Amino acid sequence: MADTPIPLEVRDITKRFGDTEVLKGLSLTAHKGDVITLIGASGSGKSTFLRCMNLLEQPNEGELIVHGENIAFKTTRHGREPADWKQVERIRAKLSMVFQSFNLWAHMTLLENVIEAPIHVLGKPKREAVEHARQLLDRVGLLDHADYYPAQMSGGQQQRGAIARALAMDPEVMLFDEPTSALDPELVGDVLKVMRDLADEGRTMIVVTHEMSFARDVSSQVIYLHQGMIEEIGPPKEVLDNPQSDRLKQFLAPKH
Amino acid sequence: MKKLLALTLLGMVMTTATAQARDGDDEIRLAIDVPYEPFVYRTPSGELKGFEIDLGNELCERANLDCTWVEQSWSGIIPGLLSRKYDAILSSMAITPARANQVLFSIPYYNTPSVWITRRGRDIDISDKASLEGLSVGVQRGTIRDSYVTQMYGDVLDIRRYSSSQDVANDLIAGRLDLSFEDYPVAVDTFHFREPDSKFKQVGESIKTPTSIFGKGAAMAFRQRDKALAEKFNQAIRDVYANGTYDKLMKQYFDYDISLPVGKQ
Amino acid sequence: MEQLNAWFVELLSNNDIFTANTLGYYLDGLGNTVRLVFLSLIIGLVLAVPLAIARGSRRKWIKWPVFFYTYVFRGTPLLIQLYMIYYGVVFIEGIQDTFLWVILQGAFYPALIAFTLNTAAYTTEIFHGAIKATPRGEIEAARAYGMSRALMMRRIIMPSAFRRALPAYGNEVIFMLHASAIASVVTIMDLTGAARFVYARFYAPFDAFLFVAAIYLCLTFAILYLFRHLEKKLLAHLKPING
Repeated sequence: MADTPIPLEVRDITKRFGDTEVLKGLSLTAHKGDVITLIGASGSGKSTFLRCMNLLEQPNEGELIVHGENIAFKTTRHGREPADWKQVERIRAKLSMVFQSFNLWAHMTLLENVIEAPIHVLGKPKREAVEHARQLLDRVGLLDHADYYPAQMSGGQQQRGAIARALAMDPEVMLFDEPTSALDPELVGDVLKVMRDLADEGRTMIVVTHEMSFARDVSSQVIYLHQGMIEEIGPPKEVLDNPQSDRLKQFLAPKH
Repeated sequence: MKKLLALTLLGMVMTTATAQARDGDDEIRLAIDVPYEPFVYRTPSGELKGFEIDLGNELCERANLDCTWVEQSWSGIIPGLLSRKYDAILSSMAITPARANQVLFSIPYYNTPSVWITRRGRDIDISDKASLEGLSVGVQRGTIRDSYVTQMYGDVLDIRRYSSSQDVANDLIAGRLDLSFEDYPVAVDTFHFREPDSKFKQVGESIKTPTSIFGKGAAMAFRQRDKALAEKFNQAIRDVYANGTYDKLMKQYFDYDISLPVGKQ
Repeated sequence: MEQLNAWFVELLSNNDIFTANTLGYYLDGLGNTVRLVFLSLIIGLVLAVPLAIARGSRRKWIKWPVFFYTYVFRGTPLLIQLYMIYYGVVFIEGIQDTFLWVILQGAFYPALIAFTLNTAAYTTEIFHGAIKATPRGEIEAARAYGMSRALMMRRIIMPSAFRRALPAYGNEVIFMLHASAIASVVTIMDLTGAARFVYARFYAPFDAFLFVAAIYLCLTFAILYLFRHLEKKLLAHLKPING
């Protein structure tokens, strides 16, 4: 069997904001088909950690290896920066991100949102991109909304549309940054269902979330972060059903 | 404190009231468009000087009137008179039928032709209309010269209209205009074209006709009902012609004759 | 139609002021105004796009000159700018001998230059504000999907900013139309120049200026209509689906 490169690997990621060290040497490896859930309290650094993986945040130290490609960094007087932005753009095209506030492009219809990056970043021909997009929209249940603008859709619909946009890039790894935190409770279920389907078909996903049911049912690995460090890491059965640290126990306890 | 405020307000109201009251007095306000050398111009210290300033002051003295000068740009000079901003115009205004519809003219006090001026070294033949195609001429908007070039040369020349005669001169000097059509005395004093080393020269004849356009000379203008005031000035004009004051003033500013046979007015 | 013609001809010949001759001046004036305003707006718009992008640059040596330019041209009256470019420029030693004199000699090009620089400055600031107001999330998404800065600017930021700037830019277009009325101080026979001509000739301010005011109103109406149509099309993404 050919040696397929690991989709995503980060080592010893450290991030400082001014004097505060927000991420303290974190490492993570995502193999093909892994669904890794990052949980933790607000301020634990989980979103920052996720955003370091597609370099929306610049880690001060550490390595980032996407699909076998090691990202080159250089030090400037502003701090550490990627040495080759073309490389960054290339690896970003392999890592689709779904945002907490959806971040669909408001002046484009849903269909236009989904075909935008495949056409202009990947260079796909328009007809192919539109066909693929329509399939994806159908899959997330939004084909009849293809010509709607984001402002004309509910939050749940927008997020499902954002997921379709992410899928259109045929990514190596999908990154989810609290995808349901901004949604009304009734709409959360629809989005989670889509995400479960993606996990079932073997997508590599890294998800930051508060939805423990998702973490338990769907993930292959759960990582609990506390103040920029990995407190516990392991399969959901261990971490969630049998937490070791006191802090995690407290975090998981029902808060009523 | 309140008393002081009330007294101050009262004082202000009274001063403004008395300022308005001066309106109906013997004070006559004369409007003039500045500059129009040598009829009127501003000295470096800001004072108004010129033939018309001197003549106007002389006429007012003759007519026993207390006069003040009001500067008014040419384009609004007749409407200003009609809306009582001042009482008379003494500003090289030619008597034309169109103007006579709006204002009452005194007898004319001078008459001068108009001349075409261009840069020395240029070969322009005014009488050959075809050769003028595309050339530009500058005039002051709303003057008899404006009417003349519009009527006679509007189809060949590019007519550029300016608010003041100074602007016309500036652009001819700057090289923006091919020609200017100006009042003879103004052209003399601005371009000195009669001197052999001047950068400018006259083109063609000095023009005074047709009278339908050029009028019968420059006169003072009054509101149509101010017949008594107009007559006072008419008499003053005859007086200064008769006793030689006019001649003396004229010779101060002109080495040529701008006067009219006043006896026939 | 015959009757309309006859009525029109009668109106023209009975009238002292609005004869075929003077109406010809107004027509010329309309042509000049439209030409001056249209050209200056188009060129100003084309200049404003790169200038607005430069205005937001991180590099000081790019953004400071642009800021200086917009500051000067927004901070001085258009009339002064017009005077300086028309009258002031002749005081530069030897300007008449350079090739520039060909365009600076007449009145139209100096006025066009002044108007263009002025509207470009205002439009640059309008676009710059609109670019800055682009939702951060949309920019992040663009970055996250591998777009280069240039692609992001072209596909995401500028279309978003143009739409945002539309109402303010519509105002700018109307301002320029009315600001162009000063063109006659440098002898251009624009609409206001035609009115001044009639006023000076016939001493009839109301007739002369009311008529031209009516023409300006019509032009403004046309601009408003155009922009309302543009807003309907381009700002469709903001409307609720049921209207």
